[in-house]
Amino acid sequence: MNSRNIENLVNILKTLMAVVVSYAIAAVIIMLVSDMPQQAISSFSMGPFSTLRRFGNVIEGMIPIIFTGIGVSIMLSIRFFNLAVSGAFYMSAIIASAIALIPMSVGLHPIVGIFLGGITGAAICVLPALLKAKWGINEVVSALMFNFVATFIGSYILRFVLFDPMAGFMASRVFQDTVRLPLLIQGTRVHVGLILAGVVTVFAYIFLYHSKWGYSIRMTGMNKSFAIFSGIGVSWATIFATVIGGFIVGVGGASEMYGMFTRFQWTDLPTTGFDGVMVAAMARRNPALIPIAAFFLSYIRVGADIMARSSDVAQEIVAVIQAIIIMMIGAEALLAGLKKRAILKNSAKEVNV
Amino acid sequence: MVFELTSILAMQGITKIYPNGLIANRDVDFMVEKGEIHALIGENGAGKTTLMKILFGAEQPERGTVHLRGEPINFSGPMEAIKAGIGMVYQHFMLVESMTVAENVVLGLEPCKWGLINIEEAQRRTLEISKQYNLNVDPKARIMDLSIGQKQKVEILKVLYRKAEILILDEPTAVLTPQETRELFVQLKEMKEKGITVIFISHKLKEIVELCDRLTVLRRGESVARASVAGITESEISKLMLGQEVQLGVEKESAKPGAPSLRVKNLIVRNDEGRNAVNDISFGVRNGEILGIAGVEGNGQTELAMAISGLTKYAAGIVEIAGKDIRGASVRGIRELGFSHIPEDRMTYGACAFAGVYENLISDRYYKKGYSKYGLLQSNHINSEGDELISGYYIKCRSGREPVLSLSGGNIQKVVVARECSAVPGVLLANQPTRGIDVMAAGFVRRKLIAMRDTGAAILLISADIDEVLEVSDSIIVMQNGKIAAYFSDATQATAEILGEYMLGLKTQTTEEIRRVFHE
Repeated sequence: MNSRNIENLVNILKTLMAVVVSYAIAAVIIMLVSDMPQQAISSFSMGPFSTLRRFGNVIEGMIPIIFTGIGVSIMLSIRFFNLAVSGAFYMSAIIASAIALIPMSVGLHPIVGIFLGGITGAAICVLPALLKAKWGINEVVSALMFNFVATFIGSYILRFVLFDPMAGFMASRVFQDTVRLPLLIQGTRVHVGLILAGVVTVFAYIFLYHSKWGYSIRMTGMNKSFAIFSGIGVSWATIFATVIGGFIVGVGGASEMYGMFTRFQWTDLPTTGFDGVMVAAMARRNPALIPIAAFFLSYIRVGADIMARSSDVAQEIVAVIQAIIIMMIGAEALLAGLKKRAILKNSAKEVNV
Repeated sequence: MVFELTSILAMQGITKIYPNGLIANRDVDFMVEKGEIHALIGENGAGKTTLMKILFGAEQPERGTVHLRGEPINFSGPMEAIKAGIGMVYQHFMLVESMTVAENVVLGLEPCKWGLINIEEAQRRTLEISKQYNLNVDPKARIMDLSIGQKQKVEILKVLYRKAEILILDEPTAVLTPQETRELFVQLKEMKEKGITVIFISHKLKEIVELCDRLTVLRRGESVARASVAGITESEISKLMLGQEVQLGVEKESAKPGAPSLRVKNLIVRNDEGRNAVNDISFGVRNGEILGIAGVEGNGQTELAMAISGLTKYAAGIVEIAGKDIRGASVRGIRELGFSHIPEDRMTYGACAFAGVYENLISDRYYKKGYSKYGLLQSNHINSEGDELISGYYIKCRSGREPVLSLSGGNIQKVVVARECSAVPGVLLANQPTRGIDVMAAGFVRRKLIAMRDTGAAILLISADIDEVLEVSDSIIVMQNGKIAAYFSDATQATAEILGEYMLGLKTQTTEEIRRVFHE
């Protein structure tokens, strides 16, 4: 075993340990707040697997997070921390909803809508990159501002363009039937978007690790000076990464609409964009690991939901658990002592040889 | 355990393992007698710096003991080491450029009067110490106006002001001209007479024989020899240092230069402060010739290299590569003219630490035919060519996928050299190509440069190591203060002494003599 292997092993252990520790903390919290902790814990951990319908909920919830997670992973590969994914996801859902109201033929309709959703996502995600390249504006600041712009433009479109006065609540008119994505598993709401998410995952993996564009993106992300020195067009690579990443996020927003809803009724930014940041961090930017991380995130959400309904523990507790997991995984120092001891022991062995 | 009671310093059984698994010191013994100049020698990466960091309290050893004047010590930080009378002069100076010599010397230990710094007293004491040890610098001068040699004197004064009895010098001559080196040696011998113990870290054998009393040799983290300098020859030291007999010199036939492939005309490059770092210089590098640029670092060499390679803009002048003006061209555009560049800072520009060896070897060509097809990287071709380069350049790595980060400095440099040379450039810019790498790797890189020359490449070699410039180059220019101070069309006509005079600005050739290097 060499130091590199120890490092990889420690990373895997760290993720597992983060999960275990946060579950233990969750259990403690549940025991403190609940009068029936045993039932609460079992519905939280086993609930999502108890019926097909509930398991379907986990899968449905996972689909949009895969899209945003993949999009964020591509952008983070060039070290571009683009929070505009949130606004991009929201805006692409609105544009897709607008397309969904126009009559169109069966096969073509969702394709047009999803494609335009992707274009919307790309257009919003590239803006902070352009502003940074042109005027050096910090992407975190500009992306947060774009999220406000997206929220209010979105709610303007909903209220004055798509609004259905007959609905009785804030929602768009009902989508055309032609746009609906077919169901994949009967008895759940799992739709064709799952397959699309799988395709996108494979595409993103190949794109990042086996294409020349992915190569230039990763090299720029790992060492910008080296990329410039080697003749890689760094600004262009950044723009390219945000366009591809944003497109995937937008595809996610549109397919979420067509798979899960019959009207658009979001009046505020959904958390899906930030969920993408979370799973990208958990998966360490590797697209191949994004579905696992997204599944996990969706699983604890559904478990929390079931627990909230079937016991006396409030759903808020789950937000606490989530936060703990993310912090644990992000914590560089966690297990650092173990890692150091393992490496030292390994080297000490060599000394004695 | 036995150690001589007279030893002012005794480090025994020192073992140090870094958190990344590197064993920097392995059971090292190091004894220094009072009032001697003791050489600590070894290749780059042999563990000299780590040993000194342990002595200085900047690193804690896994095993081993340190005795100072017979007392066991365990410093937790440099402050304690300084209090105990140990002083260190680093290779990279740690001085406040905008302050005066006296202010720098007393920094942190200022003489005070009524709670205010007593500048006159600081100047008086600085002058007193500099007189005592014959280290002449004006206490009122600002650091930024001093030469490198003078700055080093300030560093030594700083240590002496803190009443150091053991003075550690980390490769002090690396930045000095031959004249400055000689002056330093006189001063060090004088300090020895006054009872100061000097630890002299170096790998330059000539200097050790000239200056030191005894030596300790480190090799791959182990202490392999302790001897008196009087009873040992240079080649014996070299053998101890390297563990085998190595042919240190490079052999070459005389150059057969053709037409210039790289031409620089009236080039002006401004640095960040807007000063002309490269100030109106013109030269040409011919095919089949190595033109060496000698000079003290910071005389415009870095700016020149950055401008030629397209990494920074230049204010005025013309740079032509293979007959094409490169103004406005991208870095990739310049490389496609047949230009390659071994950069001076390999970890910033030369290599991507977290990427694998294969990935580092294709950064200039990944997009080209054979390396990618329909946008997809052709890993079969990339890996097999990578394996050829790994074996052809003797790069020591576990596999081509191993991150460059875990290779030694010499092997990382070989990755950079392999990439830049395998591009088969018409013009190769080699900037400090052997800095900080082991002797074997350095010899390999130098022979590679000569082999490239023999196949007709025009090579511009920039190096702060005079011996390297003299050994490898066919012709030499000296850069001083952004200008060319001298041109030697035949490198064999130059010596370190002669180059040193031009490097220091003591002499300058006439415009006519210098103009010959443009090869009109």
